Amino acid sequence: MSAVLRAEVLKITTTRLWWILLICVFVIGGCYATLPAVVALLQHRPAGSASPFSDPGTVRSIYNGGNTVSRILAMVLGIVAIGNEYRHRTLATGYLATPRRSRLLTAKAGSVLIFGLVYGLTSVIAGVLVAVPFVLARHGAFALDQVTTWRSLVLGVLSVALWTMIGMGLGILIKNLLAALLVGIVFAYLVEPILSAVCYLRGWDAGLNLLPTGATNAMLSTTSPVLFAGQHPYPWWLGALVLAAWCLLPAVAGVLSAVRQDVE
Amino acid sequence: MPPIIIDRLVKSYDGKLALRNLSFTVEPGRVTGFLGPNGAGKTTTLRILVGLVAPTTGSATFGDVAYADLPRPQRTVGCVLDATGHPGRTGRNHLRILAPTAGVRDRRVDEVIEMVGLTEVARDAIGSYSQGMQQRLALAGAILGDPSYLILDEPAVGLDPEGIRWLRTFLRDFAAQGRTVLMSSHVLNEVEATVDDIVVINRGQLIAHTKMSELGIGAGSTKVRVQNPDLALRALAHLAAQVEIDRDGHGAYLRVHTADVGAVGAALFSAGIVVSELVGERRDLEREFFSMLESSW
Repeated sequence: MSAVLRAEVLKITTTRLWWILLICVFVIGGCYATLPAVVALLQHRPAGSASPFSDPGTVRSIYNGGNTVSRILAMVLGIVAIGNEYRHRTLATGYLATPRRSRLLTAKAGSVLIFGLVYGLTSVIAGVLVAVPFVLARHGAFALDQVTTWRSLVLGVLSVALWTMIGMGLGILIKNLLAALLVGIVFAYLVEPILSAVCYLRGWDAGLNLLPTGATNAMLSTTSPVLFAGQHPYPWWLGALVLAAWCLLPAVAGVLSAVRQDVE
Repeated sequence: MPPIIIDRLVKSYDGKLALRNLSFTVEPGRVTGFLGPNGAGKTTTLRILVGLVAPTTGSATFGDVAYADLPRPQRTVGCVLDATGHPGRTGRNHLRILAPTAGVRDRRVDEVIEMVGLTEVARDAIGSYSQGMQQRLALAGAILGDPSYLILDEPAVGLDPEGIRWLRTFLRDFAAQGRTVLMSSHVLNEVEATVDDIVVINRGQLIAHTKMSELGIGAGSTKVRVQNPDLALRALAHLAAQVEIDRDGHGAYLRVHTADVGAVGAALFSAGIVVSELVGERRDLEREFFSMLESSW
Protein backbone atom coordinates (compact mmCIF):
# COMPACT_ATOMS: atom_id res chain seq x y z
CA MET A 1 0.00 0.00 0.00
CA SER A 2 1.35 3.44 -0.85
CA ALA A 3 2.18 5.84 1.96
CA VAL A 4 -0.65 8.23 1.08
CA LEU A 5 -3.21 5.43 0.98
CA ARG A 6 -1.93 4.09 4.31
CA ALA A 7 -2.34 7.54 5.84
CA GLU A 8 -5.88 7.84 4.47
CA VAL A 9 -6.89 4.41 5.76
CA LEU A 10 -5.49 5.38 9.18
CA LYS A 11 -7.62 8.53 9.09
CA ILE A 12 -10.72 6.33 8.86
CA THR A 13 -9.68 3.68 11.37
CA THR A 14 -8.64 6.22 14.02
CA THR A 15 -12.16 7.61 14.34
CA ARG A 16 -15.30 5.77 15.41
CA LEU A 17 -17.62 6.36 12.51
CA TRP A 18 -16.54 3.46 10.31
CA TRP A 19 -17.47 0.67 12.69
CA ILE A 20 -20.68 2.37 13.80
CA LEU A 21 -21.67 2.43 10.12
CA LEU A 22 -20.50 -1.16 9.73
CA ILE A 23 -22.84 -2.32 12.50
CA CYS A 24 -25.66 -0.31 10.90
CA VAL A 25 -24.97 -1.97 7.54
CA PHE A 26 -25.25 -5.41 9.10
CA VAL A 27 -28.29 -4.78 11.29
CA ILE A 28 -30.33 -2.37 9.17
CA GLY A 29 -29.21 -4.07 5.95
CA GLY A 30 -30.42 -7.38 7.39
CA CYS A 31 -33.78 -5.84 8.30
CA TYR A 32 -34.15 -4.43 4.78
CA ALA A 33 -33.36 -7.85 3.32
CA THR A 34 -36.40 -9.33 5.03
CA LEU A 35 -38.68 -6.95 3.07
CA PRO A 36 -38.45 -8.66 -0.33
CA ALA A 37 -38.75 -12.02 1.48
CA VAL A 38 -41.93 -11.01 3.33
CA VAL A 39 -43.43 -9.44 0.20
CA ALA A 40 -42.75 -12.65 -1.73
CA LEU A 41 -44.56 -14.60 1.00
CA LEU A 42 -47.56 -12.28 0.91
CA GLN A 43 -47.92 -12.22 -2.85
CA HIS A 44 -51.05 -14.02 -3.95
CA ARG A 45 -50.28 -17.35 -5.59
CA PRO A 46 -52.54 -20.06 -6.93
CA ALA A 47 -52.63 -23.16 -4.71
CA GLY A 48 -50.10 -25.80 -5.60
CA SER A 49 -47.71 -23.39 -7.30
CA ALA A 50 -43.99 -23.54 -6.64
CA SER A 51 -42.35 -22.03 -3.56
CA PRO A 52 -42.09 -18.20 -3.71
CA PHE A 53 -38.38 -18.72 -3.17
CA SER A 54 -37.87 -20.91 -6.15
CA ASP A 55 -37.68 -17.81 -8.35
CA PRO A 56 -33.97 -16.86 -8.55
CA GLY A 57 -34.75 -13.16 -9.07
CA THR A 58 -36.66 -13.08 -5.77
CA VAL A 59 -33.90 -14.87 -3.88
CA ARG A 60 -31.33 -12.48 -5.35
CA SER A 61 -33.52 -9.59 -4.17
CA ILE A 62 -33.17 -10.92 -0.62
CA TYR A 63 -29.42 -11.39 -0.96
CA ASN A 64 -29.14 -7.77 -2.06
CA GLY A 65 -32.08 -6.53 0.01
CA GLY A 66 -29.76 -4.52 2.24
CA ASN A 67 -28.38 -2.65 -0.77
CA THR A 68 -30.85 0.25 -0.62
CA VAL A 69 -29.77 1.20 2.89
CA SER A 70 -26.16 -0.03 2.83
CA ARG A 71 -25.35 2.17 -0.13
CA ILE A 72 -26.65 5.21 1.76
CA LEU A 73 -24.44 4.33 4.73
CA ALA A 74 -21.53 3.91 2.33
CA MET A 75 -22.33 7.33 0.88
CA VAL A 76 -22.33 8.78 4.41
CA LEU A 77 -18.81 7.41 4.94
CA GLY A 78 -17.69 9.08 1.71
CA ILE A 79 -19.26 12.41 2.66
CA VAL A 80 -17.82 12.38 6.18
CA ALA A 81 -14.34 11.28 5.05
CA ILE A 82 -13.92 14.50 3.08
CA GLY A 83 -16.44 16.66 4.97
CA ASN A 84 -14.63 16.21 8.26
CA GLU A 85 -11.46 17.53 6.65
CA TYR A 86 -13.26 20.71 5.67
CA ARG A 87 -15.05 20.90 9.01
CA HIS A 88 -11.91 20.59 11.11
CA ARG A 89 -9.81 22.40 8.49
CA THR A 90 -7.40 19.49 8.28
CA LEU A 91 -7.28 19.25 4.50
CA ALA A 92 -4.30 21.62 4.57
CA THR A 93 -2.33 19.11 6.65
CA GLY A 94 -3.00 16.46 4.02
CA TYR A 95 -1.97 18.75 1.18
CA LEU A 96 1.22 19.67 3.06
CA ALA A 97 2.16 15.99 3.20
CA THR A 98 1.04 15.33 -0.36
CA PRO A 99 1.18 18.54 -2.40
CA ARG A 100 -0.04 16.72 -5.53
CA ARG A 101 -3.65 17.15 -4.56
CA SER A 102 -5.03 14.75 -7.13
CA ARG A 103 -2.83 12.06 -5.57
CA LEU A 104 -4.11 12.79 -2.10
CA LEU A 105 -7.75 12.81 -3.22
CA THR A 106 -7.28 9.64 -5.25
CA ALA A 107 -5.82 7.98 -2.17
CA LYS A 108 -8.77 9.21 -0.14
CA ALA A 109 -11.13 7.80 -2.76
CA GLY A 110 -9.21 4.53 -2.58
CA SER A 111 -9.47 4.40 1.20
CA VAL A 112 -13.24 4.95 1.28
CA LEU A 113 -13.66 2.45 -1.58
CA ILE A 114 -11.89 -0.16 0.55
CA PHE A 115 -14.34 0.45 3.38
CA GLY A 116 -17.19 0.56 0.84
CA LEU A 117 -16.20 -2.95 -0.24
CA VAL A 118 -16.25 -4.07 3.39
CA TYR A 119 -19.73 -2.58 3.79
CA GLY A 120 -20.90 -4.18 0.54
CA LEU A 121 -19.60 -7.55 1.65
CA THR A 122 -21.24 -7.15 5.06
CA SER A 123 -24.52 -6.14 3.44
CA VAL A 124 -24.53 -9.16 1.13
CA ILE A 125 -23.60 -11.52 3.98
CA ALA A 126 -26.47 -10.13 6.04
CA GLY A 127 -28.79 -10.64 3.04
CA VAL A 128 -27.68 -14.23 2.55
CA LEU A 129 -28.12 -14.94 6.28
CA VAL A 130 -31.66 -13.56 6.10
CA ALA A 131 -32.45 -15.59 2.98
CA VAL A 132 -31.44 -18.92 4.53
CA PRO A 133 -34.43 -19.44 6.90
CA PHE A 134 -36.97 -18.26 4.30
CA VAL A 135 -35.65 -20.51 1.55
CA LEU A 136 -35.33 -23.52 3.85
CA ALA A 137 -38.77 -23.07 5.42
CA ARG A 138 -40.56 -22.77 2.08
CA HIS A 139 -38.46 -25.32 0.22
CA GLY A 140 -37.09 -22.76 -2.20
CA ALA A 141 -33.75 -22.76 -3.98
CA PHE A 142 -30.66 -20.72 -3.19
CA ALA A 143 -29.96 -20.35 -6.92
CA LEU A 144 -26.26 -20.64 -6.20
CA ASP A 145 -25.89 -22.91 -9.22
CA GLN A 146 -26.52 -19.91 -11.45
CA VAL A 147 -23.77 -17.62 -12.70
CA THR A 148 -26.24 -14.74 -12.55
CA THR A 149 -26.58 -15.18 -8.78
CA TRP A 150 -22.86 -15.13 -8.17
CA ARG A 151 -22.52 -12.14 -10.45
CA SER A 152 -25.32 -10.49 -8.51
CA LEU A 153 -23.53 -11.12 -5.22
CA VAL A 154 -20.22 -9.76 -6.45
CA LEU A 155 -21.81 -6.75 -8.14
CA GLY A 156 -23.89 -6.23 -5.01
CA VAL A 157 -20.67 -5.73 -3.06
CA LEU A 158 -19.25 -3.44 -5.76
CA SER A 159 -22.42 -1.34 -6.08
CA VAL A 160 -22.39 -0.49 -2.37
CA ALA A 161 -18.71 0.40 -2.61
CA LEU A 162 -19.40 2.67 -5.60
CA TRP A 163 -21.78 4.76 -3.53
CA THR A 164 -18.88 5.97 -1.38
CA MET A 165 -17.81 7.88 -4.49
CA ILE A 166 -21.12 9.78 -4.71
CA GLY A 167 -20.44 10.68 -1.08
CA MET A 168 -16.92 11.89 -1.74
CA GLY A 169 -18.06 13.97 -4.70
CA LEU A 170 -20.85 15.55 -2.66
CA GLY A 171 -18.48 16.13 0.25
CA ILE A 172 -16.02 18.01 -1.93
CA LEU A 173 -18.62 20.01 -3.84
CA ILE A 174 -20.67 20.93 -0.73
CA LYS A 175 -18.04 21.96 1.80
CA ASN A 176 -20.42 22.18 4.74
CA LEU A 177 -20.51 18.69 6.23
CA LEU A 178 -24.09 18.86 7.52
CA ALA A 179 -25.39 20.36 4.28
CA ALA A 180 -23.63 17.65 2.27
CA LEU A 181 -25.12 14.93 4.49
CA LEU A 182 -28.56 16.49 4.22
CA VAL A 183 -28.42 16.80 0.44
CA GLY A 184 -27.03 13.28 0.07
CA ILE A 185 -29.52 11.59 2.36
CA VAL A 186 -32.55 13.53 1.09
CA PHE A 187 -31.58 12.65 -2.48
CA ALA A 188 -30.79 8.99 -1.81
CA TYR A 189 -33.56 8.33 0.68
CA LEU A 190 -36.41 10.50 -0.63
CA VAL A 191 -35.98 12.09 -4.03
CA GLU A 192 -34.46 9.17 -5.88
CA PRO A 193 -36.82 6.49 -4.45
CA ILE A 194 -39.85 8.70 -5.15
CA LEU A 195 -38.72 9.26 -8.75
CA SER A 196 -38.07 5.53 -9.03
CA ALA A 197 -41.48 4.71 -7.57
CA VAL A 198 -43.21 7.07 -10.01
CA CYS A 199 -41.31 5.57 -12.95
CA TYR A 200 -42.05 2.08 -11.65
CA LEU A 201 -45.78 2.69 -11.21
CA ARG A 202 -46.10 4.46 -14.56
CA GLY A 203 -44.02 1.79 -16.27
CA TRP A 204 -41.46 4.35 -17.50
CA ASP A 205 -38.67 1.85 -17.88
CA ALA A 206 -36.30 4.23 -19.64
CA GLY A 207 -36.42 6.67 -16.72
CA LEU A 208 -36.20 3.87 -14.20
CA ASN A 209 -33.15 2.36 -15.86
CA LEU A 210 -31.32 5.67 -15.76
CA LEU A 211 -31.88 6.24 -12.04
CA PRO A 212 -29.46 4.69 -9.52
CA THR A 213 -32.11 2.33 -8.09
CA GLY A 214 -33.10 0.97 -11.50
CA ALA A 215 -29.49 0.78 -12.64
CA THR A 216 -28.65 -1.15 -9.47
CA ASN A 217 -31.55 -3.58 -10.03
CA ALA A 218 -30.45 -4.14 -13.61
CA MET A 219 -26.88 -4.65 -12.48
CA LEU A 220 -27.87 -7.09 -9.72
CA SER A 221 -30.58 -8.94 -11.70
CA THR A 222 -33.02 -8.42 -8.83
CA THR A 223 -36.75 -8.53 -9.60
CA SER A 224 -38.53 -7.73 -6.34
CA PRO A 225 -41.26 -5.06 -6.59
CA VAL A 226 -40.00 -3.74 -3.23
CA LEU A 227 -36.83 -2.69 -5.01
CA PHE A 228 -38.85 -1.10 -7.87
CA ALA A 229 -37.42 -3.52 -10.38
CA GLY A 230 -38.76 -2.61 -13.81
CA GLN A 231 -40.11 -4.91 -16.51
CA HIS A 232 -37.42 -4.13 -19.06
CA PRO A 233 -34.15 -3.61 -17.20
CA TYR A 234 -30.90 -2.83 -18.97
CA PRO A 235 -28.43 -5.69 -19.36
CA TRP A 236 -26.38 -5.96 -16.16
CA TRP A 237 -23.29 -4.34 -17.63
CA LEU A 238 -25.20 -1.31 -18.88
CA GLY A 239 -26.80 -0.98 -15.45
CA ALA A 240 -23.33 -1.09 -13.93
CA LEU A 241 -22.16 1.65 -16.31
CA VAL A 242 -25.12 3.89 -15.44
CA LEU A 243 -24.46 3.44 -11.73
CA ALA A 244 -20.75 4.06 -12.21
CA ALA A 245 -21.58 7.30 -14.01
CA TRP A 246 -23.83 8.41 -11.13
CA CYS A 247 -21.10 7.66 -8.62
CA LEU A 248 -18.01 8.81 -10.44
CA LEU A 249 -19.23 12.04 -12.04
CA PRO A 250 -19.65 13.93 -8.74
CA ALA A 251 -16.34 12.54 -7.47
CA VAL A 252 -14.45 13.59 -10.59
CA ALA A 253 -16.12 17.02 -10.61
CA GLY A 254 -15.23 17.41 -6.94
CA VAL A 255 -11.59 16.45 -7.39
CA LEU A 256 -11.20 18.75 -10.39
CA SER A 257 -12.55 21.70 -8.41
CA ALA A 258 -10.55 20.92 -5.25
CA VAL A 259 -7.25 20.67 -7.11
CA ARG A 260 -7.50 24.33 -8.14
CA GLN A 261 -8.89 25.90 -5.01
CA ASP A 262 -6.99 27.90 -2.41
CA VAL A 263 -7.12 26.20 0.98
CA GLU A 264 -8.37 28.42 3.78
CA MET B 1 20.96 25.08 2.89
CA PRO B 2 19.47 27.62 0.49
CA PRO B 3 17.39 30.56 1.75
CA ILE B 4 13.63 30.94 1.43
CA ILE B 5 13.02 33.32 -1.45
CA ILE B 6 9.83 35.34 -1.66
CA ASP B 7 9.92 36.91 -5.09
CA ARG B 8 7.56 39.65 -6.25
CA LEU B 9 4.45 38.01 -4.82
CA VAL B 10 1.13 39.43 -5.86
CA LYS B 11 -2.15 37.93 -4.66
CA SER B 12 -5.52 39.39 -5.47
CA TYR B 13 -8.79 38.16 -4.03
CA ASP B 14 -11.67 39.30 -6.24
CA GLY B 15 -9.69 42.29 -7.45
CA LYS B 16 -8.55 43.26 -3.93
CA LEU B 17 -4.80 43.10 -3.52
CA ALA B 18 -3.71 41.10 -0.47
CA LEU B 19 -0.04 41.09 -1.50
CA ARG B 20 1.53 43.83 -3.59
CA ASN B 21 4.84 42.84 -5.10
CA LEU B 22 6.26 41.41 -1.89
CA SER B 23 9.90 40.27 -1.96
CA PHE B 24 12.29 39.19 0.78
CA THR B 25 14.63 36.34 1.63
CA VAL B 26 14.90 34.30 4.81
CA GLU B 27 18.42 33.27 5.69
CA PRO B 28 19.36 29.83 7.03
CA GLY B 29 20.73 29.49 10.55
CA ARG B 30 18.52 32.29 11.78
CA VAL B 31 15.10 32.79 13.28
CA THR B 32 13.17 35.29 11.21
CA GLY B 33 10.14 37.03 12.67
CA PHE B 34 7.46 37.87 10.12
CA LEU B 35 5.55 40.79 11.54
CA GLY B 36 2.59 42.87 10.64
CA PRO B 37 -0.84 43.82 11.92
CA ASN B 38 -3.79 41.51 11.30
CA GLY B 39 -4.71 41.48 7.63
CA ALA B 40 -1.24 42.55 6.52
CA GLY B 41 -0.83 39.43 4.39
CA LYS B 42 1.35 37.25 6.65
CA THR B 43 -0.83 34.16 6.53
CA THR B 44 -1.41 34.53 2.79
CA THR B 45 2.35 34.72 2.21
CA LEU B 46 3.04 31.62 4.32
CA ARG B 47 0.24 29.68 2.63
CA ILE B 48 1.57 30.57 -0.80
CA LEU B 49 5.04 29.45 0.34
CA VAL B 50 3.74 25.96 1.20
CA GLY B 51 1.50 25.64 -1.85
CA LEU B 52 -1.90 25.90 -0.16
CA VAL B 53 -2.74 29.15 -1.92
CA ALA B 54 -1.80 29.97 -5.50
CA PRO B 55 -0.17 33.39 -6.06
CA THR B 56 -1.59 35.65 -8.74
CA THR B 57 1.98 36.34 -9.89
CA GLY B 58 5.43 35.89 -8.40
CA SER B 59 6.91 32.93 -6.59
CA ALA B 60 7.88 31.66 -3.17
CA THR B 61 10.54 28.95 -3.08
CA PHE B 62 13.04 27.07 -0.95
CA GLY B 63 16.18 27.93 -2.86
CA ASP B 64 14.75 27.54 -6.33
CA VAL B 65 12.39 24.68 -5.52
CA ALA B 66 8.69 25.27 -4.96
CA TYR B 67 7.06 23.39 -2.08
CA ALA B 68 4.94 21.28 -4.42
CA ASP B 69 8.09 20.08 -6.20
CA LEU B 70 9.84 18.86 -3.04
CA PRO B 71 10.08 15.06 -3.30
CA ARG B 72 9.08 14.44 0.32
CA PRO B 73 8.04 17.82 1.65
CA GLN B 74 7.70 16.77 5.31
CA ARG B 75 11.40 15.85 5.33
CA THR B 76 12.38 19.34 4.16
CA VAL B 77 9.75 21.70 5.54
CA GLY B 78 7.77 21.53 8.77
CA CYS B 79 4.66 23.68 9.10
CA VAL B 80 2.63 24.86 12.05
CA LEU B 81 -0.48 26.41 10.58
CA ASP B 82 -3.82 26.93 12.28
CA ALA B 83 -5.67 23.62 12.57
CA THR B 84 -4.54 20.50 14.39
CA GLY B 85 -6.76 17.52 13.70
CA HIS B 86 -10.00 15.67 14.21
CA PRO B 87 -11.00 16.23 17.87
CA GLY B 88 -12.03 12.58 18.25
CA ARG B 89 -8.57 11.31 17.38
CA THR B 90 -5.78 10.85 19.89
CA GLY B 91 -2.71 13.04 19.61
CA ARG B 92 -0.60 9.99 18.89
CA ASN B 93 -2.90 8.78 16.11
CA HIS B 94 -2.86 12.26 14.60
CA LEU B 95 0.90 11.95 14.28
CA ARG B 96 0.73 8.32 13.11
CA ILE B 97 -1.33 9.57 10.15
CA LEU B 98 1.46 11.97 9.25
CA ALA B 99 4.13 9.29 9.60
CA PRO B 100 3.72 7.23 6.36
CA THR B 101 4.14 10.20 4.02
CA ALA B 102 6.99 11.56 6.14
CA GLY B 103 8.63 8.17 5.75
CA VAL B 104 9.09 7.61 9.49
CA ARG B 105 8.03 4.85 11.84
CA ASP B 106 5.87 4.97 14.95
CA ARG B 107 9.04 5.05 17.08
CA ARG B 108 9.79 8.52 15.71
CA VAL B 109 6.19 9.49 16.55
CA ASP B 110 6.79 8.65 20.21
CA GLU B 111 10.12 10.47 20.03
CA VAL B 112 8.60 13.79 18.90
CA ILE B 113 5.77 13.40 21.42
CA GLU B 114 8.47 13.18 24.09
CA MET B 115 10.30 16.19 22.62
CA VAL B 116 7.25 18.44 22.88
CA GLY B 117 6.31 17.07 26.29
CA LEU B 118 2.99 15.44 25.43
CA THR B 119 3.81 11.86 26.44
CA GLU B 120 1.27 11.77 29.26
CA VAL B 121 -1.64 12.88 27.08
CA ALA B 122 -0.55 11.20 23.83
CA ARG B 123 -3.41 8.71 24.00
CA ASP B 124 -6.09 11.27 24.87
CA ALA B 125 -8.44 12.75 22.29
CA ILE B 126 -7.22 16.01 20.74
CA GLY B 127 -10.59 17.51 21.66
CA SER B 128 -9.54 17.40 25.32
CA TYR B 129 -6.28 19.30 24.68
CA SER B 130 -5.73 22.90 25.74
CA GLN B 131 -4.76 25.37 23.03
CA GLY B 132 -1.17 25.20 24.23
CA MET B 133 -1.15 21.40 23.97
CA GLN B 134 -2.60 21.62 20.48
CA GLN B 135 0.22 24.00 19.52
CA ARG B 136 2.76 21.52 20.88
CA LEU B 137 1.08 18.73 18.93
CA ALA B 138 1.18 20.82 15.76
CA LEU B 139 4.88 21.44 16.36
CA ALA B 140 5.44 17.72 16.91
CA GLY B 141 3.80 17.09 13.53
CA ALA B 142 6.00 19.72 11.91
CA ILE B 143 9.28 18.24 13.15
CA LEU B 144 8.24 14.61 12.55
CA GLY B 145 10.22 14.37 9.31
CA ASP B 146 13.25 16.18 10.82
CA PRO B 147 12.95 19.10 8.39
CA SER B 148 15.48 21.82 7.54
CA TYR B 149 12.90 24.59 7.47
CA LEU B 150 10.21 25.46 10.00
CA ILE B 151 7.30 27.66 8.99
CA LEU B 152 5.12 28.78 11.88
CA ASP B 153 1.99 30.91 11.71
CA GLU B 154 1.39 32.62 15.05
CA PRO B 155 2.91 29.78 17.09
CA ALA B 156 2.77 31.70 20.37
CA VAL B 157 -1.01 32.03 20.33
CA GLY B 158 -2.49 30.03 23.20
CA LEU B 159 0.84 29.24 24.83
CA ASP B 160 1.31 30.09 28.49
CA PRO B 161 4.49 31.98 29.52
CA GLU B 162 6.23 28.67 30.25
CA GLY B 163 5.21 27.37 26.84
CA ILE B 164 6.51 30.51 25.16
CA ARG B 165 9.87 30.13 26.90
CA TRP B 166 9.99 26.49 25.83
CA LEU B 167 9.14 27.41 22.21
CA ARG B 168 11.81 30.12 22.23
CA THR B 169 14.50 27.67 23.36
CA PHE B 170 13.31 25.11 20.84
CA LEU B 171 13.42 27.53 17.90
CA ARG B 172 16.80 28.98 18.93
CA ASP B 173 18.27 25.46 19.10
CA PHE B 174 16.72 24.58 15.77
CA ALA B 175 18.27 27.61 14.07
CA ALA B 176 21.59 27.06 15.83
CA GLN B 177 21.88 23.80 13.88
CA GLY B 178 22.00 25.84 10.69
CA ARG B 179 18.31 25.39 9.93
CA THR B 180 15.80 28.04 8.98
CA VAL B 181 12.86 29.33 11.01
CA LEU B 182 10.23 31.69 9.66
CA MET B 183 7.55 32.58 12.19
CA SER B 184 4.77 35.08 11.87
CA SER B 185 3.50 36.95 14.87
CA HIS B 186 1.71 40.00 16.06
CA VAL B 187 2.73 39.29 19.66
CA LEU B 188 5.79 41.48 19.36
CA ASN B 189 7.31 41.10 22.78
CA GLU B 190 7.36 37.35 22.35
CA VAL B 191 9.24 37.66 19.05
CA GLU B 192 11.72 40.15 20.43
CA ALA B 193 13.65 37.60 22.47
CA THR B 194 13.46 34.85 19.86
CA VAL B 195 14.28 36.26 16.45
CA ASP B 196 17.49 37.27 14.73
CA ASP B 197 15.90 39.02 11.78
CA ILE B 198 12.60 40.73 11.31
CA VAL B 199 10.51 41.25 8.22
CA VAL B 200 7.70 43.73 8.68
CA ILE B 201 4.87 43.95 6.19
CA ASN B 202 1.72 45.98 6.06
CA ARG B 203 -1.11 45.92 3.54
CA GLY B 204 0.77 43.36 1.47
CA GLN B 205 3.94 45.45 1.15
CA LEU B 206 7.37 45.16 2.69
CA ILE B 207 7.92 47.86 5.32
CA ALA B 208 11.23 46.77 6.76
CA HIS B 209 13.67 43.90 6.66
CA THR B 210 16.41 44.19 9.21
CA LYS B 211 18.56 42.38 11.73
CA MET B 212 17.49 42.64 15.34
CA SER B 213 20.97 43.85 16.27
CA GLU B 214 20.66 46.75 13.85
CA LEU B 215 17.45 47.87 15.47
CA GLY B 216 19.49 48.75 18.54
CA ILE B 217 17.09 47.07 20.89
CA GLY B 218 18.07 47.79 24.45
CA ALA B 219 20.49 50.58 23.45
CA GLY B 220 18.00 53.09 24.68
CA SER B 221 18.47 56.70 25.67
CA THR B 222 18.33 58.88 28.75
CA LYS B 223 16.03 61.81 29.20
CA VAL B 224 17.44 64.72 31.21
CA ARG B 225 15.72 67.90 32.35
CA VAL B 226 17.82 70.72 33.76
CA GLN B 227 17.59 74.47 34.25
CA ASN B 228 20.11 75.27 31.54
CA PRO B 229 20.26 72.72 28.70
CA ASP B 230 23.26 74.33 26.99
CA LEU B 231 25.38 73.92 30.12
CA ALA B 232 24.38 70.26 30.44
CA LEU B 233 25.05 69.68 26.74
CA ARG B 234 28.74 70.47 27.31
CA ALA B 235 28.94 68.34 30.43
CA LEU B 236 27.52 65.30 28.62
CA ALA B 237 29.34 65.64 25.30
CA HIS B 238 31.86 62.92 26.19
CA LEU B 239 29.17 60.34 27.02
CA ALA B 240 27.35 59.93 23.73
CA ALA B 241 27.91 60.70 20.11
CA GLN B 242 24.48 62.21 20.01
CA VAL B 243 22.85 64.51 22.47
CA GLU B 244 19.85 66.45 21.28
CA ILE B 245 17.52 69.02 22.70
CA ASP B 246 13.85 68.24 22.54
CA ARG B 247 10.72 69.86 23.90
CA ASP B 248 7.58 68.58 25.54
CA GLY B 249 4.71 70.16 27.50
CA HIS B 250 7.06 71.00 30.38
CA GLY B 251 9.64 72.78 28.25
CA ALA B 252 13.02 71.75 26.85
CA TYR B 253 14.88 68.58 27.80
CA LEU B 254 17.93 66.64 26.61
CA ARG B 255 17.95 63.20 25.06
CA VAL B 256 21.29 61.47 25.53
CA HIS B 257 21.78 58.43 23.37
CA THR B 258 23.08 56.11 26.02
CA ALA B 259 21.30 53.61 28.20
CA ASP B 260 23.73 54.26 31.07
CA VAL B 261 21.57 56.48 33.25
CA GLY B 262 24.03 56.33 36.15
CA ALA B 263 26.89 57.75 34.07
CA VAL B 264 24.68 60.66 32.94
CA GLY B 265 23.72 61.41 36.53
CA ALA B 266 27.38 61.27 37.67
CA ALA B 267 28.53 63.59 34.86
CA LEU B 268 25.86 66.15 35.73
CA PHE B 269 26.70 65.92 39.42
CA SER B 270 30.41 66.49 38.88
CA ALA B 271 29.59 69.50 36.68
CA GLY B 272 27.49 70.86 39.55
CA ILE B 273 24.25 70.92 37.54
CA VAL B 274 20.91 70.64 39.33
CA VAL B 275 18.77 67.90 37.76
CA SER B 276 14.99 68.01 37.86
CA GLU B 277 14.30 64.88 35.83
CA LEU B 278 16.45 61.88 34.90
CA VAL B 279 14.78 58.94 33.15
CA GLY B 280 16.11 55.92 31.26
CA GLU B 281 14.19 55.30 28.05
CA ARG B 282 14.52 51.77 26.70
CA ARG B 283 13.67 51.35 23.04
CA ASP B 284 11.68 48.24 22.43
CA LEU B 285 10.42 46.34 19.44
CA GLU B 286 6.86 47.35 20.10
CA ARG B 287 7.80 50.99 19.56
CA GLU B 288 10.08 50.23 16.60
CA PHE B 289 7.29 48.25 15.04
CA PHE B 290 4.74 50.98 15.35
CA SER B 291 7.09 53.67 14.19
CA MET B 292 7.80 51.58 11.11
CA LEU B 293 4.11 51.12 10.45
CA GLU B 294 3.40 54.80 11.01
CA SER B 295 6.10 55.92 8.62
CA SER B 296 4.62 53.58 6.00
CA TRP B 297 1.22 55.22 6.16
